[in-house]
Amino acid sequence: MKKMTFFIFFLILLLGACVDDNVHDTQAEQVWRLDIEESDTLLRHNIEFMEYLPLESSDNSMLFNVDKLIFKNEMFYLADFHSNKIVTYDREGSLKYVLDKRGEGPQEYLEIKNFAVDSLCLYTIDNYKHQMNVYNVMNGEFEKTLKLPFVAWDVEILPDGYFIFTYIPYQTGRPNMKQEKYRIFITDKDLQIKKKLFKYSEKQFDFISRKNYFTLSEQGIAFNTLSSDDFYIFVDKDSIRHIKLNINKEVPYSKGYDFDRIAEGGYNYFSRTPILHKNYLICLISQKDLLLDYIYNISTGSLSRNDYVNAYKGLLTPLFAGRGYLFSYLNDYDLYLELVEAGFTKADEKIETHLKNEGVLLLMYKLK
Amino acid sequence: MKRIIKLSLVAVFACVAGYNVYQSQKQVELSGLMLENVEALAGDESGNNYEYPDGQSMVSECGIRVGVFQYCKATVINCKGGGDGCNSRRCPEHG
Repeated sequence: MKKMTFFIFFLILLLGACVDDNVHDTQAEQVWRLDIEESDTLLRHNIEFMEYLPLESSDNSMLFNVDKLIFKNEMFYLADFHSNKIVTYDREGSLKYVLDKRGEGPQEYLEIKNFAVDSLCLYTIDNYKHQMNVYNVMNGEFEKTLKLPFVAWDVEILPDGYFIFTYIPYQTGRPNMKQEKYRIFITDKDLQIKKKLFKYSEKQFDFISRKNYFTLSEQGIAFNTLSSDDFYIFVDKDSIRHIKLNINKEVPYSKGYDFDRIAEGGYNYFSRTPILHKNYLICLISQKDLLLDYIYNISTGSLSRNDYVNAYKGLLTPLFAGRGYLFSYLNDYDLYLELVEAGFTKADEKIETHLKNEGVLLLMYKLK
Repeated sequence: MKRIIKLSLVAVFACVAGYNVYQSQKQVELSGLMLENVEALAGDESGNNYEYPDGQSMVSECGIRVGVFQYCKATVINCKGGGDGCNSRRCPEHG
């Protein structure tokens, strides 16, 4: 009888393990070591050329800042989460439409926390209303609203068409929805949860937040948080690459330090989720009191940053990688003048006038 | 029995009175603090005076340009939906 009881107990445990495919603890296939102390100031050697693309201005196209940029369907989508607005342009920089419908009414939203784009639709997250709004990607016309089953900070669309969402716990609050403690939710287009990954406990939280947790690349969707040195690339729903990113004086993640202790300790960390582009990893690293852009060459292991004295082919923090380019955003004429004075590529007179008159530019970098 | 009830009533009365005195003292302290630093108090644990009652504090870093390709760190608080109370703090202007 005892044996029977033990067998049943064991069977239940085994079944439980089979049903719970949520635990995802893989071995990293590679470790990329970013040696900040050995880095050089030759970042420009990785850049073939840089071009300016002026973006058309209108009364409602002004943005406070660009928090996320996507280039897809031959269009640029620029989102400002502070103004809760998305402005879209064609590839020549002509304004297509502006999504700016904040309000309490039907077809309106209280926030754009994040957004994603596929070939048909543009999807936005509104955590105040706990819903996802769906718009026609070409003209911005409202199509429908879907009920979000969780609070999410970022969303992307996997190459196989599934949504991937992330919720990252912070010390400074709790989600106001009852949701399971996972960092990743993969859903179908009707927001039915198909997969949950990276479980966290009540005591685990990131010491600081990011605007975005996913970055798009030719190789899939990259994901990284401030709770570990793990860097994941989602090739599709069931295929995930796992890489360790090591930097000098790394945050002691296992100790669960809060932001004050991290700041006091002078630890280094990735301020944004790195962008994977060609054979490079493009990073914004928080280093002592500064935020610095780096390019890591995955093949050679070399790490380079900008040269403060010589700005020729210097890299302004990129927001997106795609179609063979890295894209950065520039809306500051004074910064432009300062850069040019330090050797940065000068724009033609028309583009300079555009920037001077509060116009904005995209900087398109072609890497070697 | 009567004596026990009497003693219990006295004890309860003493507790209630003591608690009220403590509360009034605490409120005086809070009023003083409030005058000194309204901003700090805006995020207190009472949860009654949040700018965004359903907001979640997103403490993030912003770069304040201090030179060519050099950005100094500052923290900013954005209040986004889906949380249990938040007060925002903007990125300081450089200059």
